[in-house]
Parts: sequence; C-alpha cells; structure tokens
Amino acid sequence: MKKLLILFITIFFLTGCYNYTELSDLSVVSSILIDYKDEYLFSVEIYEDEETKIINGSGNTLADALNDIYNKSNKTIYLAHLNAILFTKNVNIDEIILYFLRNPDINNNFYLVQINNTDIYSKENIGESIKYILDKKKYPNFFNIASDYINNTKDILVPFYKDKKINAYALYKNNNFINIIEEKDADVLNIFLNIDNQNIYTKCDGGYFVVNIDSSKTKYKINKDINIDVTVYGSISEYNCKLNTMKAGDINKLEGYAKKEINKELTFLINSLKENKIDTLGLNTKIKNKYHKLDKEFYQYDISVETNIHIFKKGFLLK
Amino acid sequence: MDFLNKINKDYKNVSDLVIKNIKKLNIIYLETLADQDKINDYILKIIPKSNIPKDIKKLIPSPNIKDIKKYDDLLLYLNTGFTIIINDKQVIAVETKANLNRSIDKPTTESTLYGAKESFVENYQVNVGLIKRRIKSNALKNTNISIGRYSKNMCSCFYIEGVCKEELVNEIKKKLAKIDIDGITDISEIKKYIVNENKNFFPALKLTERPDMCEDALLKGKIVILIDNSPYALILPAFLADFINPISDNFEKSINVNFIKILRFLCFFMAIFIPSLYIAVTTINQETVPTSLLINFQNQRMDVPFSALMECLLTLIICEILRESDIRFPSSYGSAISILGGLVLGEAAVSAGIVSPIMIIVASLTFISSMIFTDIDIINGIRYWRLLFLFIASFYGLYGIGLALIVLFINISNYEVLNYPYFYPLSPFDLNYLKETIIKAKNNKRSKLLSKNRIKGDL
Repeated sequence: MKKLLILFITIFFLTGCYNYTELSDLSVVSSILIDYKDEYLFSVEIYEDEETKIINGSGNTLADALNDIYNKSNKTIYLAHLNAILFTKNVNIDEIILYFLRNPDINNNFYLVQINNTDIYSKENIGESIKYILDKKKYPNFFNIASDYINNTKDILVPFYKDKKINAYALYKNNNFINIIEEKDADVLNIFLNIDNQNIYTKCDGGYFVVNIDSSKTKYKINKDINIDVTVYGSISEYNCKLNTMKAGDINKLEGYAKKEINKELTFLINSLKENKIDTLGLNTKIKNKYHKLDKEFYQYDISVETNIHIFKKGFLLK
Repeated sequence: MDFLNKINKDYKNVSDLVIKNIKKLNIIYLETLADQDKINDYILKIIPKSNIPKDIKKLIPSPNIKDIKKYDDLLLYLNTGFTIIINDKQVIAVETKANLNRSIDKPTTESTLYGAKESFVENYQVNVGLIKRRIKSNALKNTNISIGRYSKNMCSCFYIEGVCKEELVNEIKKKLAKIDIDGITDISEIKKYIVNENKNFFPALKLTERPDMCEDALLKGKIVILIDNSPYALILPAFLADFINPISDNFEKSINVNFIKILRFLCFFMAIFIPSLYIAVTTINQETVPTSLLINFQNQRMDVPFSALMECLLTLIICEILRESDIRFPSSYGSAISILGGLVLGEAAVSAGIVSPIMIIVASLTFISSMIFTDIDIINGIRYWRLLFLFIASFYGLYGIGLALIVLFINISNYEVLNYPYFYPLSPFDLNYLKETIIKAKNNKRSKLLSKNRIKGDL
C-alpha cells in the first residue's frame, strides 16, 4: 500500500499535463484551409456525424486566426487527426511549416497541399479524400516536406489539388512559388520520384500500347558526370499492336519501344530542370554527400538518363 | 467400566447415543453415524449365539477392528461411526460407519473436454482412494493430522517420496500441526494458516476438485492436502502460470493447444486492461485511435450524460452484480438473470442513453476474457488490478497504463508463496516447467525448483 501511495505521489510530480477530455467535447479537425487577403483567413473542416462542419476565422497572424477559431467553437479543437493543410499561393510556405512544426498537438502524417480556389468545401469530407488519394500514391507528407525545407536538401514540391484530383505539383525554389508542374510533366517527374501508377503511352507497329507502371527504382551515379539509372516495372494495360505478347521475343520488342519512349520523356524533363536550375531531385545534396563539398552545381554536370523496363503480368490475353 | 461411566457422563445430553448390554459386554454407538445393518451383522447377531472368548476381537467378523487404550481414542472412534465394545479387560472399536456420502460426480467448476470426468466428494476415504487409484506406488506417502478441537477433521498431506522436496513436506507438516481452531468447514479455511493470503490479490494456493490435477501436481513434486468433509484438494506450491493454464487442456493436440494457452495469457492481460485502454484512448490519448473509429466512438458517446470513467465504472459494477447473482442464484432460476442482465440492462441501458454501445462491448469483452479462468480467486484478483488500471488510466492515459503494468509485473515477480517465486517459470526462468504450464511441449525433466529428482520416469 505504501508503494502504491509513493507511486501516485511520484507520478503527480513527474508528469506535467492532466489533459482529460471527454470524447463528446472534442471537435476533430479533418483539414485546415489557409488563405491570405490583408489578413490570414482560416477555414477548419470538422468531423460531425456523417457530414462535416466548417468554422471560419481570421487574424493578423496564423496563431491569431487559429485562436479565432478556438473562440468560435463550442468544443475543443482537436488537431491530432488532421488529414491535410490546404493553402493558397498567397500564403508563405515557410510560415506554415514553421508554425505547424511548433504545434505539439498535431499528428505526423498529414499532407500539405496547395490549392488555387478557396471555395472547395462541401458536404463531402475534403481532408479525408485528399489524404486517401495521397496515401494511396505515397506522396511526401508534411514532415517530408518540412524536412526538405529545414535541411535545404532540394527544391520543394507540394501536391496541387484542383478539380477534386491531384495530378500536379506546386514548385518552390528558395521558398518562393515558381510554377505549377502538371499533366505529362508531373507524371514523368513521378517516375523519377518513384510515385507509381502512371500510364505510359507508346506507339508500336500498327498501333499503340499503354504500360502501367507498378513500381520504379531510381539510382544516381555521380562521377565526372551524373548518370540517373531508372528501372521501371510495369504491366500492359491497353494493347493495340500487331505483335504477339505470348511470344518472348515480341515482349522484348515492346519493352524496347517503351524504354525508348520513357527515356525520351525523362531526358526531356531532366534537361528542362537543368535549364531552369531547379533541383527537385536533390542532386546538389547527393553531390555534397559524395564529395563533402559543392564545387559545381548539378546543372554544371552532364546528366544522362538510363532506363530499364520490365514488363510482366501480361494478363489473360488472346494475342 | 471406568470408560463406560465417563461416556455416560460426557454424553449426557446426546440423544443418539445407544448403549446395549449383552452377555456382560457393553456395546456403544451413535445411531446417526453408525450403520444399523453392519452392527447387526458384525455384533448383535453374533454375540448372543457365541461363547465370549478372552479376546473379543476373535468374536467379531469385521475387517476393521481397533484396540483402544486411551479414552480420547475411544471418543474419536465413537464420533466417527465406530461401535465400541467394552468388557472388563478390553475395549475395542468396530468399524460400522454409515454411508452418508454422495456418489462421485462430474467436476462442476473445472470442466474439460477430454480427461477424467470425476471429482472429489465430501468423504475423505473416497478422495484418498481417488488419488491412490491413480498413483499405485508405495512412494506415495501421506501423513494424517487431526485438525479442529470439536470438528476433528482428518487432514492428510500427500506427496511422492523421492520426487517432492523433503523440506517443503516438513514445513507443511509443521504448519498443519500448529493449527489450533474449533473446527474447519472447508479446506479453503486452512489456506490462511499455510500462507499469508492477503499479501497479494492473486491466489496463493490452488484448490481443485479434480483428482487428475492432484495426480499431475504430485508427479511434478508438489504437495496435495485433503481434508475430511471437503470436496476440494489443496495443491501447493502454486504459481501464476498454474492458474492461467491448468493441465485440463493438456489432453489435446499440442500444436493446437499451445495457441489456446498463449491466448489465455492474452486474456489475463485483456481482462485487466481493456477498460483502462478504452478510457485512456477516449479521454487522453485520442490521437492513437484511427480517425474513423474515433468519430464512431464520438457519435456513440454523444448522448451519454456521464463521463467515460463514470460510465465504465457503472457498467463494470453492474456486470459484477450480475456475475455474483448468477453464482449465488439457484440454477433452476438462472434464465431470469440472463434475461434481466442481457436484455434489460444491456439493450435498455443503451436505448435510455445511460451507457454507450461501445462500453457494453468493452465490459463484455473484459468479462468474457476473465471467465476463461476457472479459479474464482484469480478472477477476483484480476478485478482489483482492473480497477487500479482504470483509475490510473483516467489520470495519465497510456503512460499511466505503462506505469501500472510495471507495478503489476513488480508485484507478481516480487511475490513468494512458501519461498517459491510466484511468477515462476517466467521469473526465474525455467524451460522445463515452462514446457508443462505456459506451453505444451516435449519435456523429460522435472522443474529444478520443485524436485531434486529431475529425470522423469526414474521413480
């Protein structure tokens, strides 16, 4: 009994927070939308039964704006289940990263997403659907982006949400918004970043075929020049060629076509990144890691791309 | 004749004492304890037809006749159903006990799928027979000690010589001999004279109604105590693992039964900390629950006016009341309890908004997990720890549960019963005993803690 008493007394002294909150007193936040027009404008999407509730707030600083929302809510705003932070290009990304990194109540697997239209909230839970999409494709989350920002390892890419889908990136250089990379460029960039499930359209004898990328691996070899070795594993999802996929020789021919196509796209993208001096692949950091100094920037190197493709899972085929 | 006068004096107001005088022989018995037919066959039909020899033992055709020298012995035999025959020079006791026993029945509290289907009864001789029938060896020793000033219960300490440690036997014998009380109604009463029971909330000694459990314990080097008028045997020393995994499932295939054995350990911990885990994750560590589950919990809790802790305590207390009334209530009325408990308290409490459905699931899971154990004492021990975990979780959440778990482990591993560590064979670790209790595996050695004779089959 004495031991128990000592234990109880000790834990009162050794622990700090007594944060007992009833579940019914919590407002579980799904997503936060941040915009800036003369002041910070916050919209918080809250889980409520099967729908969501939006609370708006504003303030001169991010803390003021969030405080405004705390005051407007009749329950405790609970950020530990946050799915996404959505922000417009009017807000400085570094302010968001630094503010939310400091917040101890936040979880560590939500996503940072850029939007161009603030009128996106409806009855549907936007935060949850964004998290679902990004989880599925294994996009970098808030902490991956914050880590790149703090360590300055590469130019930041933030997923860009538009028309209820995410297939573009907002590109940042030195924490300044540069441009939106979308459509084909974003797909090709995803091959470099090993974010899978892209479709590669390739022409062949008498038609075309589409390779769906199941997984990809990227290796960087840095010597006098930089050699990027991309290995792609894919399957044929659409087929309209004369070659017979049941024959091993013909499959090799198809792999040759696809390899040529992917290599062309990857080389084009890398040249364009080199021209614009944008280091989204973190090549400068890789050079630094190898030589422990950065004598030459990555764009001063010759960069070549080598692609290997392995097509498997031919499916139930007739030809 | 001196004894006869003493008996007349001592049994002045005892209504069932019968004294007959035939051919100068005084025949004395208690008619409630003695069998009239046996008295007729062995004594009353024989004596009138015969000449009385010098040694009256030669006259009586009974297989069990005792010479009596002391008056105290005479009283003991008379009070146990013997018939006393007194002449001028000799006093003898003839066994004429009436059969006041029920027949051997199926075990009711320790049921098993396979294995023996018999349990101890109140008769001491039958119980001894059930054990001796299983171990047909002269190495099986027992020492009889009479306990109780008035009840004079026959208590017997069984052990296998050469397997059980002598020191333990001597210690137990000493402890039993020291017991000085008026009477014992059940074997569980002598537990407190052997160990300090209240040192820990978990049971210190194992009670069993199954003779096969006793056999297993004796072969492992343990001691079994039987007592007159009690249908239970006491096994000592007992370890926590013996309560969680009794041998009753050892008759099944080992590859399958090991899953059940590990599941039981899981249930032991589940029964302790499911309610506290629920309190911790819903009131303090909400971040640990998947979002969809949290929202589900939140929707269910929305209409409940009480705090989660109060709701949990309320449900657990109701379940305890239900369990207690279910044990005490005659089984013929049992269905009323099920209907009241299951339908009225479960369904109606949720509809009335007193408790949330998830709380009913938590309480049911907790109680089902604890019902796996057959010993009521371990269920009660779990209940104490469950409440402790619950309170600490409501203050400190998962961190508190972690702390309480450390305290639980310290408590169990620090506890010693008769100088044997309670958390054995996990701490101190013993692979041989582990293979016999925590899991079922091939093992040809006895535990080093229980026996000096390590090799099995070398009896």
